[in-house]
Amino acid sequence: MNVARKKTAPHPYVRLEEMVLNMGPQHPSTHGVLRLVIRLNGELVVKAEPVLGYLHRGFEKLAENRTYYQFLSMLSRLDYLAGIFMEWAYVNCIEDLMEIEVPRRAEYLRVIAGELVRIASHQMSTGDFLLNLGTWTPFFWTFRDREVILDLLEMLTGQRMMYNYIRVGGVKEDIPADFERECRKFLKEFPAKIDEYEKLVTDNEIFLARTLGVGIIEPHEAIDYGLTGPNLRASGVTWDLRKDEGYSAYGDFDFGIPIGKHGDCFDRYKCRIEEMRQSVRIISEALDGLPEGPVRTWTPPMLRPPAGSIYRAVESPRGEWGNYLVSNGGLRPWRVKMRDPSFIAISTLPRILPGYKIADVIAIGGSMDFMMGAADR
Amino acid sequence: MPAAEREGMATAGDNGLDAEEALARIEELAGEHLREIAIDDDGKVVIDIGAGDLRPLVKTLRDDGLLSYRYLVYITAVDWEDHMQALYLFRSMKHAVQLEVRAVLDRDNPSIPSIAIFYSTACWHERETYDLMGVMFEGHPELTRILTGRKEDMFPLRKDARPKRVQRRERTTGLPPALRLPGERDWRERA
Repeated sequence: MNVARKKTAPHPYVRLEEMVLNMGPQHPSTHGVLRLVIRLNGELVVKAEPVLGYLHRGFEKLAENRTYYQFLSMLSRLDYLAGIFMEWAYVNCIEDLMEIEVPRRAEYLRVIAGELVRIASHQMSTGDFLLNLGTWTPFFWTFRDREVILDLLEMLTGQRMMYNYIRVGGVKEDIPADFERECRKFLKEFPAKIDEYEKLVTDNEIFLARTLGVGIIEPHEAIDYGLTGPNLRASGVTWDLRKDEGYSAYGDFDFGIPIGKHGDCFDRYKCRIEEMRQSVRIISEALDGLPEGPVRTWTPPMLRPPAGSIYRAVESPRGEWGNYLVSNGGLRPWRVKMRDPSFIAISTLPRILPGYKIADVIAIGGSMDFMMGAADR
Repeated sequence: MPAAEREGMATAGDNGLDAEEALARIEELAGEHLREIAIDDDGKVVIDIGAGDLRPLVKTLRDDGLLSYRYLVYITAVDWEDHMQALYLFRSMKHAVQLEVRAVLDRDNPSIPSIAIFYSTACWHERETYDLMGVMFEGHPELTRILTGRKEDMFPLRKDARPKRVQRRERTTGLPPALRLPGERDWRERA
Protein backbone atom coordinates (compact mmCIF):
# COMPACT_ATOMS: atom_id res chain seq x y z
CA MET A 1 0.00 0.00 0.00
CA ASN A 2 1.24 3.39 -0.96
CA VAL A 3 1.45 5.48 2.18
CA ALA A 4 2.60 9.07 2.13
CA ARG A 5 3.79 10.75 5.30
CA LYS A 6 2.21 14.09 6.10
CA LYS A 7 4.50 16.90 7.13
CA THR A 8 2.71 18.33 10.17
CA ALA A 9 1.84 15.94 12.97
CA PRO A 10 0.08 17.11 16.13
CA HIS A 11 2.17 15.03 18.50
CA PRO A 12 5.56 13.35 18.00
CA TYR A 13 4.06 9.94 18.74
CA VAL A 14 0.92 10.45 16.66
CA ARG A 15 1.49 10.06 12.97
CA LEU A 16 -1.05 11.25 10.43
CA GLU A 17 -0.99 9.34 7.22
CA GLU A 18 -2.81 9.56 3.97
CA MET A 19 -4.11 6.28 2.72
CA VAL A 20 -4.65 5.27 -0.86
CA LEU A 21 -7.82 3.29 -1.27
CA ASN A 22 -8.52 1.40 -4.44
CA MET A 23 -12.25 1.25 -5.11
CA GLY A 24 -13.26 -1.03 -7.91
CA PRO A 25 -13.17 -2.21 -10.64
CA GLN A 26 -15.21 -4.94 -8.99
CA HIS A 27 -17.27 -2.91 -6.60
CA PRO A 28 -21.06 -3.08 -6.42
CA SER A 29 -21.54 0.67 -6.30
CA THR A 30 -19.39 1.61 -9.28
CA HIS A 31 -22.11 0.71 -11.81
CA GLY A 32 -19.95 -1.55 -13.86
CA VAL A 33 -16.20 -1.57 -13.89
CA LEU A 34 -15.06 1.88 -12.86
CA ARG A 35 -11.94 2.00 -10.72
CA LEU A 36 -11.49 4.93 -8.39
CA VAL A 37 -8.11 5.52 -6.80
CA ILE A 38 -8.92 7.61 -3.76
CA ARG A 39 -6.40 9.29 -1.47
CA LEU A 40 -7.89 9.56 2.00
CA ASN A 41 -7.04 11.69 4.99
CA GLY A 42 -8.94 9.87 7.70
CA GLU A 43 -12.46 9.74 6.35
CA LEU A 44 -12.00 12.66 4.00
CA VAL A 45 -11.21 12.35 0.32
CA VAL A 46 -8.14 14.34 -0.65
CA LYS A 47 -7.83 13.26 -4.23
CA ALA A 48 -9.77 10.97 -6.49
CA GLU A 49 -8.63 9.60 -9.79
CA PRO A 50 -10.97 7.54 -11.98
CA VAL A 51 -9.37 4.80 -14.06
CA LEU A 52 -11.36 3.75 -17.09
CA GLY A 53 -11.08 1.29 -19.90
CA TYR A 54 -11.98 -2.02 -18.28
CA LEU A 55 -14.94 -2.34 -20.64
CA HIS A 56 -13.30 -0.88 -23.73
CA ARG A 57 -14.40 -2.86 -26.75
CA GLY A 58 -13.32 -0.49 -29.50
CA PHE A 59 -16.78 0.26 -30.85
CA GLU A 60 -15.57 3.16 -32.94
CA LYS A 61 -13.07 0.92 -34.72
CA LEU A 62 -15.58 -1.90 -35.07
CA ALA A 63 -17.92 0.53 -36.84
CA GLU A 64 -15.29 1.27 -39.47
CA ASN A 65 -15.10 -2.41 -40.37
CA ARG A 66 -18.81 -3.02 -40.73
CA THR A 67 -21.59 -1.90 -43.02
CA TYR A 68 -24.09 0.60 -41.68
CA TYR A 69 -26.70 -2.07 -40.93
CA GLN A 70 -24.24 -4.49 -39.37
CA PHE A 71 -23.16 -1.89 -36.88
CA LEU A 72 -26.72 -0.83 -36.05
CA SER A 73 -27.42 -4.10 -34.27
CA MET A 74 -24.39 -3.66 -32.00
CA LEU A 75 -25.20 -0.22 -30.70
CA SER A 76 -27.51 -1.15 -27.84
CA ARG A 77 -24.59 -2.96 -26.19
CA LEU A 78 -23.03 0.39 -25.38
CA ASP A 79 -25.39 1.81 -22.80
CA TYR A 80 -27.23 -1.42 -22.12
CA LEU A 81 -29.90 0.19 -19.96
CA ALA A 82 -30.94 2.65 -22.65
CA GLY A 83 -29.81 1.06 -25.88
CA ILE A 84 -32.55 2.56 -27.98
CA PHE A 85 -31.03 6.04 -27.78
CA MET A 86 -27.77 4.89 -29.32
CA GLU A 87 -29.67 3.46 -32.26
CA TRP A 88 -31.71 6.62 -32.51
CA ALA A 89 -28.75 8.99 -32.79
CA TYR A 90 -26.93 6.75 -35.26
CA VAL A 91 -29.99 6.28 -37.45
CA ASN A 92 -30.68 10.03 -37.36
CA CYS A 93 -27.20 10.62 -38.78
CA ILE A 94 -27.73 8.22 -41.67
CA GLU A 95 -31.23 9.48 -42.42
CA ASP A 96 -30.14 13.09 -42.52
CA LEU A 97 -27.11 12.31 -44.69
CA MET A 98 -29.20 10.33 -47.16
CA GLU A 99 -32.22 12.62 -46.84
CA ILE A 100 -34.60 9.78 -46.05
CA GLU A 101 -38.11 10.80 -45.06
CA VAL A 102 -39.35 9.07 -41.90
CA PRO A 103 -43.11 8.40 -41.60
CA ARG A 104 -44.82 10.34 -38.84
CA ARG A 105 -46.13 7.18 -37.22
CA ALA A 106 -42.60 5.82 -36.97
CA GLU A 107 -41.44 8.99 -35.21
CA TYR A 108 -44.25 8.60 -32.69
CA LEU A 109 -43.37 4.95 -32.11
CA ARG A 110 -39.73 5.95 -31.58
CA VAL A 111 -40.85 8.46 -28.97
CA ILE A 112 -43.04 5.88 -27.21
CA ALA A 113 -40.26 3.30 -27.14
CA GLY A 114 -37.69 5.90 -26.10
CA GLU A 115 -39.74 7.21 -23.22
CA LEU A 116 -40.54 3.71 -22.00
CA VAL A 117 -36.81 2.99 -21.98
CA ARG A 118 -36.19 6.27 -20.18
CA ILE A 119 -38.59 5.28 -17.40
CA ALA A 120 -37.00 1.84 -17.12
CA SER A 121 -33.53 3.35 -16.98
CA HIS A 122 -34.48 5.93 -14.37
CA GLN A 123 -36.11 3.21 -12.30
CA MET A 124 -32.95 1.18 -12.44
CA SER A 125 -30.73 4.11 -11.56
CA THR A 126 -32.97 5.36 -8.76
CA GLY A 127 -33.30 1.91 -7.28
CA ASP A 128 -29.59 1.30 -7.54
CA PHE A 129 -28.74 4.67 -6.05
CA LEU A 130 -30.96 3.94 -3.06
CA LEU A 131 -29.52 0.45 -2.77
CA ASN A 132 -26.05 1.99 -2.60
CA LEU A 133 -27.26 4.17 0.24
CA GLY A 134 -28.37 1.09 2.16
CA THR A 135 -32.08 0.80 1.48
CA TRP A 136 -33.25 -2.49 0.06
CA THR A 137 -36.97 -2.04 -0.49
CA PRO A 138 -36.96 0.66 -3.20
CA PHE A 139 -34.65 -1.47 -5.31
CA PHE A 140 -37.13 -4.34 -5.29
CA TRP A 141 -40.08 -2.07 -5.87
CA THR A 142 -38.51 -0.33 -8.86
CA PHE A 143 -37.48 -3.69 -10.28
CA ARG A 144 -40.98 -5.05 -9.81
CA ASP A 145 -42.38 -2.18 -11.88
CA ARG A 146 -39.53 -2.21 -14.36
CA GLU A 147 -40.56 -5.73 -15.27
CA VAL A 148 -43.88 -4.36 -16.58
CA ILE A 149 -42.05 -1.92 -18.85
CA LEU A 150 -39.69 -4.60 -20.10
CA ASP A 151 -42.73 -6.72 -20.98
CA LEU A 152 -44.19 -3.78 -22.88
CA LEU A 153 -40.89 -3.27 -24.69
CA GLU A 154 -40.79 -6.95 -25.51
CA MET A 155 -44.23 -6.63 -27.10
CA LEU A 156 -43.12 -3.56 -29.02
CA THR A 157 -39.61 -4.49 -30.10
CA GLY A 158 -39.29 -8.22 -29.49
CA GLN A 159 -36.46 -7.70 -27.03
CA ARG A 160 -36.10 -6.73 -23.40
CA MET A 161 -32.72 -5.01 -23.49
CA MET A 162 -30.96 -5.13 -26.86
CA TYR A 163 -33.74 -3.66 -28.94
CA ASN A 164 -32.49 -3.03 -32.48
CA TYR A 165 -35.93 -1.50 -33.00
CA ILE A 166 -35.10 1.78 -34.69
CA ARG A 167 -34.16 1.19 -38.30
CA VAL A 168 -33.09 3.52 -41.05
CA GLY A 169 -36.29 5.02 -42.43
CA GLY A 170 -38.56 4.10 -39.53
CA VAL A 171 -38.93 1.35 -36.98
CA LYS A 172 -38.80 -2.43 -37.20
CA GLU A 173 -42.53 -3.12 -37.15
CA ASP A 174 -45.88 -1.72 -36.16
CA ILE A 175 -47.30 -2.09 -32.65
CA PRO A 176 -48.97 -5.41 -31.86
CA ALA A 177 -52.73 -5.55 -31.37
CA ASP A 178 -52.99 -5.37 -27.59
CA PHE A 179 -49.99 -3.11 -26.97
CA GLU A 180 -52.03 0.07 -26.67
CA ARG A 181 -54.40 -1.44 -24.10
CA GLU A 182 -51.54 -2.81 -22.00
CA CYS A 183 -49.58 0.43 -22.27
CA ARG A 184 -52.54 2.55 -21.20
CA LYS A 185 -53.09 0.24 -18.26
CA PHE A 186 -49.47 0.75 -17.25
CA LEU A 187 -49.68 4.52 -17.69
CA LYS A 188 -52.75 4.61 -15.48
CA GLU A 189 -51.14 2.62 -12.68
CA PHE A 190 -47.60 3.93 -12.80
CA PRO A 191 -47.92 7.47 -11.34
CA ALA A 192 -49.26 5.94 -8.12
CA LYS A 193 -46.18 3.75 -7.99
CA ILE A 194 -43.86 6.74 -8.31
CA ASP A 195 -45.72 8.20 -5.33
CA GLU A 196 -45.00 4.94 -3.50
CA TYR A 197 -41.25 5.26 -4.14
CA GLU A 198 -41.35 8.82 -2.93
CA LYS A 199 -43.30 7.88 0.17
CA LEU A 200 -40.63 5.33 0.99
CA VAL A 201 -37.57 7.51 0.83
CA THR A 202 -37.98 11.13 -0.17
CA ASP A 203 -38.82 12.36 3.31
CA ASN A 204 -36.67 9.83 5.10
CA GLU A 205 -34.35 11.57 7.52
CA ILE A 206 -31.36 9.32 6.92
CA PHE A 207 -31.77 9.64 3.18
CA LEU A 208 -31.95 13.43 3.45
CA ALA A 209 -28.88 13.54 5.68
CA ARG A 210 -26.91 11.57 3.14
CA THR A 211 -28.00 13.45 0.04
CA LEU A 212 -28.85 17.07 0.92
CA GLY A 213 -25.88 19.32 0.24
CA VAL A 214 -23.70 16.40 -0.83
CA GLY A 215 -21.91 16.51 -4.17
CA ILE A 216 -22.91 20.02 -5.10
CA ILE A 217 -22.23 21.06 -8.70
CA GLU A 218 -22.64 24.75 -9.45
CA PRO A 219 -24.36 25.60 -12.74
CA HIS A 220 -21.31 27.27 -14.27
CA GLU A 221 -19.19 24.28 -13.27
CA ALA A 222 -21.70 21.90 -14.81
CA ILE A 223 -21.58 23.79 -18.11
CA ASP A 224 -17.79 24.04 -17.98
CA TYR A 225 -17.60 20.28 -17.52
CA GLY A 226 -20.09 19.65 -20.31
CA LEU A 227 -22.54 17.77 -18.11
CA THR A 228 -25.91 17.01 -19.64
CA GLY A 229 -29.17 15.37 -18.74
CA PRO A 230 -30.52 15.19 -15.20
CA ASN A 231 -27.05 15.95 -13.81
CA LEU A 232 -27.04 19.34 -15.53
CA ARG A 233 -30.68 20.10 -14.89
CA ALA A 234 -30.32 19.34 -11.19
CA SER A 235 -27.88 22.26 -11.07
CA GLY A 236 -30.63 24.54 -12.28
CA VAL A 237 -29.76 24.84 -15.96
CA THR A 238 -32.79 24.44 -18.22
CA TRP A 239 -31.34 22.46 -21.07
CA ASP A 240 -33.05 19.52 -22.69
CA LEU A 241 -32.45 18.54 -26.30
CA ARG A 242 -36.03 17.31 -26.56
CA LYS A 243 -37.21 20.87 -26.04
CA ASP A 244 -34.26 22.89 -27.31
CA GLU A 245 -33.72 21.01 -30.54
CA GLY A 246 -37.15 19.39 -30.80
CA TYR A 247 -35.84 16.43 -32.81
CA SER A 248 -38.11 13.61 -33.96
CA ALA A 249 -41.72 14.24 -32.89
CA TYR A 250 -40.96 15.92 -29.57
CA GLY A 251 -42.21 19.24 -30.91
CA ASP A 252 -45.76 17.85 -30.84
CA PHE A 253 -45.91 17.09 -27.14
CA ASP A 254 -46.50 19.23 -24.13
CA PHE A 255 -44.20 18.32 -21.27
CA GLY A 256 -42.16 19.98 -18.60
CA ILE A 257 -38.46 19.88 -17.85
CA PRO A 258 -37.84 19.31 -14.14
CA ILE A 259 -34.89 21.32 -12.87
CA GLY A 260 -33.21 21.34 -9.50
CA LYS A 261 -31.94 24.22 -7.47
CA HIS A 262 -28.78 23.24 -5.61
CA GLY A 263 -27.21 20.57 -7.79
CA ASP A 264 -26.73 18.10 -4.96
CA CYS A 265 -27.45 14.38 -4.84
CA PHE A 266 -31.00 14.96 -3.68
CA ASP A 267 -31.80 17.24 -6.61
CA ARG A 268 -30.40 14.74 -9.07
CA TYR A 269 -32.56 11.99 -7.54
CA LYS A 270 -35.61 14.23 -7.55
CA CYS A 271 -35.04 15.27 -11.17
CA ARG A 272 -35.10 11.65 -12.26
CA ILE A 273 -38.28 10.97 -10.30
CA GLU A 274 -39.98 13.95 -11.92
CA GLU A 275 -38.72 12.98 -15.35
CA MET A 276 -40.49 9.66 -15.01
CA ARG A 277 -43.76 11.52 -14.49
CA GLN A 278 -43.10 13.68 -17.54
CA SER A 279 -42.32 10.59 -19.61
CA VAL A 280 -45.68 9.11 -18.64
CA ARG A 281 -47.25 12.30 -19.92
CA ILE A 282 -45.37 12.13 -23.22
CA ILE A 283 -46.27 8.49 -23.83
CA SER A 284 -49.98 9.05 -23.18
CA GLU A 285 -49.97 12.07 -25.49
CA ALA A 286 -48.20 10.05 -28.16
CA LEU A 287 -50.70 7.19 -27.85
CA ASP A 288 -53.59 9.65 -28.10
CA GLY A 289 -52.25 11.31 -31.22
CA LEU A 290 -50.67 8.29 -32.89
CA PRO A 291 -51.05 8.96 -36.64
CA GLU A 292 -52.05 6.25 -39.10
CA GLY A 293 -49.77 5.18 -41.91
CA PRO A 294 -46.67 3.13 -42.66
CA VAL A 295 -43.92 2.68 -40.09
CA ARG A 296 -40.96 2.44 -42.44
CA THR A 297 -39.89 3.81 -45.78
CA TRP A 298 -38.05 1.51 -48.11
CA THR A 299 -34.27 1.79 -47.96
CA PRO A 300 -31.69 -0.19 -49.91
CA PRO A 301 -30.21 -3.14 -48.00
CA MET A 302 -26.71 -1.79 -48.58
CA LEU A 303 -26.62 1.83 -47.52
CA ARG A 304 -24.26 4.24 -49.21
CA PRO A 305 -24.66 7.68 -47.67
CA PRO A 306 -23.12 10.49 -49.71
CA ALA A 307 -19.73 11.78 -48.60
CA GLY A 308 -20.00 14.21 -45.74
CA SER A 309 -20.06 14.49 -41.99
CA ILE A 310 -22.88 15.00 -39.56
CA TYR A 311 -23.49 15.23 -35.83
CA ARG A 312 -26.80 14.20 -34.33
CA ALA A 313 -27.63 14.00 -30.65
CA VAL A 314 -30.53 12.67 -28.62
CA GLU A 315 -31.46 13.20 -25.00
CA SER A 316 -30.77 9.84 -23.41
CA PRO A 317 -31.61 9.18 -19.73
CA ARG A 318 -28.03 10.09 -18.86
CA GLY A 319 -27.78 13.17 -21.01
CA GLU A 320 -26.77 14.08 -24.49
CA TRP A 321 -25.85 11.02 -26.49
CA GLY A 322 -24.33 12.21 -29.74
CA ASN A 323 -23.04 10.53 -32.83
CA TYR A 324 -20.58 12.12 -35.22
CA LEU A 325 -20.57 10.22 -38.48
CA VAL A 326 -18.16 10.72 -41.36
CA SER A 327 -18.97 9.04 -44.64
CA ASN A 328 -16.74 8.90 -47.70
CA GLY A 329 -19.54 7.60 -49.89
CA GLY A 330 -18.61 3.97 -49.28
CA LEU A 331 -20.36 0.99 -47.78
CA ARG A 332 -18.82 1.50 -44.37
CA PRO A 333 -18.64 4.58 -42.19
CA TRP A 334 -15.26 6.30 -42.42
CA ARG A 335 -15.38 7.43 -38.82
CA VAL A 336 -17.91 7.15 -36.03
CA LYS A 337 -17.39 9.20 -32.92
CA MET A 338 -19.68 8.76 -29.95
CA ARG A 339 -20.13 11.49 -27.45
CA ASP A 340 -21.50 9.92 -24.36
CA PRO A 341 -22.72 11.56 -21.18
CA SER A 342 -21.34 8.99 -18.73
CA PHE A 343 -17.74 9.68 -19.77
CA ILE A 344 -18.32 13.35 -19.04
CA ALA A 345 -20.03 12.64 -15.72
CA ILE A 346 -17.06 10.57 -14.57
CA SER A 347 -14.65 13.30 -15.62
CA THR A 348 -16.23 15.58 -13.00
CA LEU A 349 -15.45 13.20 -10.13
CA PRO A 350 -11.86 14.45 -9.49
CA ARG A 351 -13.36 17.91 -9.09
CA ILE A 352 -16.37 17.03 -6.92
CA LEU A 353 -15.17 14.28 -4.61
CA PRO A 354 -12.32 15.97 -2.66
CA GLY A 355 -13.60 17.28 0.64
CA TYR A 356 -16.36 14.74 1.06
CA LYS A 357 -16.28 11.64 3.21
CA ILE A 358 -15.72 8.17 1.85
CA ALA A 359 -19.39 7.27 2.33
CA ASP A 360 -20.38 10.28 0.22
CA VAL A 361 -18.33 8.91 -2.66
CA ILE A 362 -20.91 6.15 -2.96
CA ALA A 363 -23.79 8.62 -2.78
CA ILE A 364 -22.27 10.96 -5.37
CA GLY A 365 -21.34 8.14 -7.73
CA GLY A 366 -24.82 6.67 -7.46
CA SER A 367 -26.55 9.97 -8.05
CA MET A 368 -24.44 10.78 -11.14
CA ASP A 369 -25.80 7.60 -12.74
CA PHE A 370 -23.01 6.73 -15.13
CA MET A 371 -22.89 3.67 -17.29
CA MET A 372 -19.50 2.15 -17.86
CA GLY A 373 -20.54 0.29 -21.00
CA ALA A 374 -21.06 3.65 -22.66
CA ALA A 375 -18.16 5.48 -21.04
CA ASP A 376 -15.57 2.90 -22.07
CA ARG A 377 -17.11 2.18 -25.45
CA MET B 1 -17.47 34.29 -11.62
CA PRO B 2 -19.87 36.95 -10.28
CA ALA B 3 -23.15 35.71 -8.89
CA ALA B 4 -25.25 37.76 -11.29
CA GLU B 5 -23.59 36.19 -14.31
CA ARG B 6 -23.99 32.75 -12.82
CA GLU B 7 -27.70 33.39 -12.33
CA GLY B 8 -27.99 34.61 -15.89
CA MET B 9 -26.41 31.45 -17.20
CA ALA B 10 -28.69 29.22 -15.18
CA THR B 11 -31.76 30.80 -16.72
CA ALA B 12 -30.19 31.17 -20.14
CA GLY B 13 -32.69 32.94 -22.33
CA ASP B 14 -32.60 32.86 -26.09
CA ASN B 15 -31.03 36.03 -27.45
CA GLY B 16 -32.26 35.12 -30.92
CA LEU B 17 -28.89 35.16 -32.67
CA ASP B 18 -29.09 33.48 -36.07
CA ALA B 19 -26.32 31.89 -38.11
CA GLU B 20 -25.56 34.93 -40.31
CA GLU B 21 -25.32 37.22 -37.30
CA ALA B 22 -23.10 34.74 -35.48
CA LEU B 23 -20.84 34.46 -38.53
CA ALA B 24 -20.54 38.24 -38.80
CA ARG B 25 -19.81 38.51 -35.10
CA ILE B 26 -17.10 35.83 -35.27
CA GLU B 27 -15.47 37.56 -38.24
CA GLU B 28 -15.56 40.85 -36.41
CA LEU B 29 -14.04 39.45 -33.22
CA ALA B 30 -11.52 36.95 -34.52
CA GLY B 31 -11.15 37.65 -38.23
CA GLU B 32 -7.36 37.43 -38.14
CA HIS B 33 -7.44 33.83 -36.85
CA LEU B 34 -9.75 32.40 -39.50
CA ARG B 35 -8.75 30.70 -42.71
CA GLU B 36 -12.25 29.97 -43.88
CA ILE B 37 -15.70 30.42 -42.42
CA ALA B 38 -19.02 29.16 -43.71
CA ILE B 39 -22.50 28.07 -42.70
CA ASP B 40 -23.21 24.41 -43.45
CA ASP B 41 -26.49 22.62 -44.26
CA ASP B 42 -27.27 22.09 -40.58
CA GLY B 43 -27.14 25.82 -39.93
CA LYS B 44 -24.00 25.64 -37.88
CA VAL B 45 -20.97 27.87 -38.38
CA VAL B 46 -17.89 25.96 -39.55
CA ILE B 47 -14.46 27.50 -39.16
CA ASP B 48 -11.17 26.28 -40.59
CA ILE B 49 -8.13 27.47 -38.69
CA GLY B 50 -4.45 26.77 -38.34
CA ALA B 51 -3.46 24.88 -35.21
CA GLY B 52 -1.66 27.90 -33.73
CA ASP B 53 -4.78 30.07 -33.77
CA LEU B 54 -6.90 27.71 -31.72
CA ARG B 55 -6.33 29.13 -28.26
CA PRO B 56 -6.88 32.85 -28.97
CA LEU B 57 -9.91 32.05 -31.11
CA VAL B 58 -11.54 29.78 -28.55
CA LYS B 59 -10.92 32.20 -25.71
CA THR B 60 -12.40 35.12 -27.64
CA LEU B 61 -15.53 33.26 -28.64
CA ARG B 62 -16.03 31.81 -25.17
CA ASP B 63 -15.79 35.12 -23.36
CA ASP B 64 -17.90 37.16 -25.77
CA GLY B 65 -21.24 38.01 -24.16
CA LEU B 66 -23.23 37.66 -27.35
CA LEU B 67 -21.75 34.44 -28.73
CA SER B 68 -20.92 32.86 -25.37
CA TYR B 69 -19.62 29.51 -26.61
CA ARG B 70 -19.22 28.12 -23.11
CA TYR B 71 -20.24 24.57 -23.78
CA LEU B 72 -17.79 22.20 -25.45
CA VAL B 73 -19.69 19.23 -26.84
CA TYR B 74 -16.78 17.09 -28.01
CA ILE B 75 -13.27 17.03 -29.37
CA THR B 76 -12.30 14.43 -31.88
CA ALA B 77 -10.02 13.77 -34.82
CA VAL B 78 -10.47 12.11 -38.19
CA ASP B 79 -7.70 10.26 -39.96
CA TRP B 80 -7.89 11.11 -43.68
CA GLU B 81 -4.83 8.98 -44.51
CA ASP B 82 -2.90 11.93 -45.97
CA HIS B 83 -3.64 14.31 -43.13
CA MET B 84 -5.27 14.39 -39.71
CA GLN B 85 -8.17 16.65 -38.91
CA ALA B 86 -8.97 17.87 -35.40
CA LEU B 87 -12.60 18.79 -34.73
CA TYR B 88 -14.22 20.80 -31.96
CA LEU B 89 -17.94 21.35 -31.52
CA PHE B 90 -19.15 24.22 -29.34
CA ARG B 91 -22.58 25.17 -28.24
CA SER B 92 -24.03 28.19 -26.55
CA MET B 93 -26.79 28.21 -24.00
CA LYS B 94 -27.91 31.60 -25.26
CA HIS B 95 -28.68 30.83 -28.90
CA ALA B 96 -29.10 27.83 -31.16
CA VAL B 97 -26.14 28.31 -33.53
CA GLN B 98 -23.51 25.63 -33.05
CA LEU B 99 -19.89 26.20 -33.93
CA GLU B 100 -17.53 23.66 -35.43
CA VAL B 101 -13.82 24.42 -35.45
CA ARG B 102 -11.60 22.34 -37.70
CA ALA B 103 -7.85 22.25 -38.02
CA VAL B 104 -5.71 20.25 -40.43
CA LEU B 105 -2.74 18.55 -38.77
CA ASP B 106 0.33 16.81 -40.06
CA ARG B 107 -0.38 13.09 -39.98
CA ASP B 108 3.11 11.97 -39.01
CA ASN B 109 3.37 14.36 -36.11
CA PRO B 110 -0.11 15.64 -35.26
CA SER B 111 -0.02 18.29 -32.62
CA ILE B 112 -2.32 21.10 -31.54
CA PRO B 113 -2.46 23.33 -28.45
CA SER B 114 -4.60 22.05 -25.59
CA ILE B 115 -7.67 24.04 -24.56
CA ALA B 116 -8.01 22.32 -21.20
CA ILE B 117 -7.34 25.65 -19.48
CA PHE B 118 -10.48 27.14 -21.02
CA TYR B 119 -12.83 24.17 -20.69
CA SER B 120 -12.56 21.61 -17.91
CA THR B 121 -14.28 19.01 -20.04
CA ALA B 122 -11.58 19.34 -22.73
CA CYS B 123 -9.13 17.55 -20.45
CA TRP B 124 -10.69 14.13 -20.88
CA HIS B 125 -11.78 14.67 -24.47
CA GLU B 126 -8.18 15.44 -25.36
CA ARG B 127 -6.91 12.42 -23.47
CA GLU B 128 -9.34 10.25 -25.38
CA THR B 129 -8.35 11.73 -28.74
CA TYR B 130 -4.68 11.23 -27.91
CA ASP B 131 -5.34 7.67 -26.83
CA LEU B 132 -7.26 6.63 -29.92
CA MET B 133 -5.74 8.86 -32.59
CA GLY B 134 -2.32 9.88 -31.34
CA VAL B 135 -2.92 13.63 -31.56
CA MET B 136 -0.56 15.43 -29.18
CA PHE B 137 -2.19 18.27 -27.26
CA GLU B 138 0.54 20.69 -26.24
CA GLY B 139 0.21 22.07 -22.75
CA HIS B 140 -2.20 19.40 -21.57
CA PRO B 141 -1.86 18.80 -17.81
CA GLU B 142 -1.87 15.01 -18.04
CA LEU B 143 -1.78 13.54 -21.51
CA THR B 144 -1.98 9.82 -20.76
CA ARG B 145 -3.94 6.98 -22.23
CA ILE B 146 -7.44 6.69 -20.86
CA LEU B 147 -9.40 3.92 -22.57
CA THR B 148 -6.95 1.44 -24.04
CA GLY B 149 -4.61 0.94 -21.09
CA ARG B 150 -1.05 1.91 -20.33
CA LYS B 151 0.62 -0.88 -22.29
CA GLU B 152 -1.07 -0.14 -25.59
CA ASP B 153 1.54 0.55 -28.25
CA MET B 154 -0.59 1.75 -31.16
CA PHE B 155 -3.23 4.36 -31.80
CA PRO B 156 -6.13 2.11 -32.69
CA LEU B 157 -8.35 4.51 -34.60
CA ARG B 158 -5.70 5.40 -37.16
CA LYS B 159 -6.51 3.83 -40.48
CA ASP B 160 -3.28 1.86 -40.69
CA ALA B 161 -3.49 0.49 -37.15
CA ARG B 162 -4.06 -3.23 -37.09
CA PRO B 163 -4.06 -5.49 -34.07
CA LYS B 164 -1.06 -7.74 -33.44
CA ARG B 165 -3.19 -10.79 -34.20
CA VAL B 166 -3.87 -9.49 -37.71
CA GLN B 167 -0.24 -8.49 -38.21
CA ARG B 168 0.89 -12.01 -37.31
CA ARG B 169 -1.54 -13.54 -39.74
CA GLU B 170 -0.34 -11.18 -42.46
CA ARG B 171 3.22 -12.38 -41.95
CA THR B 172 2.23 -16.04 -42.28
CA THR B 173 -0.69 -16.25 -44.67
CA GLY B 174 -0.71 -12.90 -46.43
CA LEU B 175 -3.50 -10.34 -46.33
CA PRO B 176 -6.49 -11.22 -44.18
CA PRO B 177 -9.67 -12.16 -46.02
CA ALA B 178 -11.77 -11.09 -43.04
CA LEU B 179 -14.63 -8.60 -43.15
CA ARG B 180 -14.89 -8.61 -46.90
CA LEU B 181 -17.94 -7.52 -48.83
CA PRO B 182 -18.99 -8.80 -52.28
CA GLY B 183 -16.80 -7.15 -54.87
CA GLU B 184 -13.91 -6.42 -52.51
CA ARG B 185 -10.84 -8.58 -52.72
CA ASP B 186 -9.22 -7.41 -49.48
CA TRP B 187 -9.30 -4.60 -46.98
CA ARG B 188 -7.17 -2.33 -49.12
CA GLU B 189 -9.87 -2.09 -51.75
CA ARG B 190 -12.57 -0.77 -49.52
CA ALA B 191 -14.90 1.58 -51.29
